[in-house]
Amino acid sequence: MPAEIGKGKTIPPVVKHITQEKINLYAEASGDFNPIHVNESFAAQTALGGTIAHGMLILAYVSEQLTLAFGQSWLSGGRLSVRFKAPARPGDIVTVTGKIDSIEERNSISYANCRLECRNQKNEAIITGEAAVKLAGDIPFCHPDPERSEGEGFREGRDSS
Amino acid sequence: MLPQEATQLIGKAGETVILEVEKGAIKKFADAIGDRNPLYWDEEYARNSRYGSIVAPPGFFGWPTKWKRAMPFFSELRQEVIDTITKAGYSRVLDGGIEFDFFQPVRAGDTLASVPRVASIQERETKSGKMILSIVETTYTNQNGDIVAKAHQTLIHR
Repeated sequence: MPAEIGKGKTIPPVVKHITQEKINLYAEASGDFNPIHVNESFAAQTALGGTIAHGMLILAYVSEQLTLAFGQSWLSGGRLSVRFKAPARPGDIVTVTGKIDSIEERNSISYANCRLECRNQKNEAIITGEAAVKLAGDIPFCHPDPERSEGEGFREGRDSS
Repeated sequence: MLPQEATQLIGKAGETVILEVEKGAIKKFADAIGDRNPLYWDEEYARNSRYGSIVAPPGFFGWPTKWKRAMPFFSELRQEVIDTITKAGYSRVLDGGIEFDFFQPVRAGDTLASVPRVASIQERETKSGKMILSIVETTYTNQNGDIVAKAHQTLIHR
């Protein structure tokens, strides 16, 4: 296991700017065209007062953070439990943060138990959750090429492997 | 006491949805979420990875080949659970969270079968009154018969 992975370690944050364009792209990619996400005049008439991002789009940011932190390990298996606390809206800047709570061994496989949060610019929780990431021996703490990602928060934990 | 109509739903399976995972759809999805990990689109990079081929970001399970409502998350079974419990007097529905278990990567070229099933319906007594928790479990199985993922969606009915 790489030395960087350990209890109490902070996972590098991922920052995303939510725009209607991104929500529309996600609608096309996922096939979820619910008007609450894509129809601005319809959404304005509802109790929400405007369009909101798909919960699964924000969840994808949480997953992206785990891939950036744990590399290909996260893609081979694990558990992600989340609760949707509030919607994210166009114009919001959301930040996913996380921390390794413990390293646990189950059936001779190590898992990193992480606590995760996604908050908007007003510090309101959008998603809270936990993840258990299966650890394999050969994984860098960070994605090999973090510059490829849109995330702006890779200053820490960047020197990987 | 749980309404009988609700308890009768426990264990009920919904319609199987067949999902085709194409590399073009994976790229589109990865672009949409802004995740530029080359594993999702660069065939050469992916070939040299431990997976040997393009994989999908966790949470992307492909396109339904039999297009009905939307993605399997919004299955008719889930709607039936909501409608049944609403009729029993619990008309407010709140999100209780989603839990994913990822067992294997989803690869470009996979054909997945997703089957929703009512895993549990339970009554809870809280300070603010009674509520019902319903859990729909969706299992995703690939063409080799391997379970690649399970999703548990919890709804709170008050």
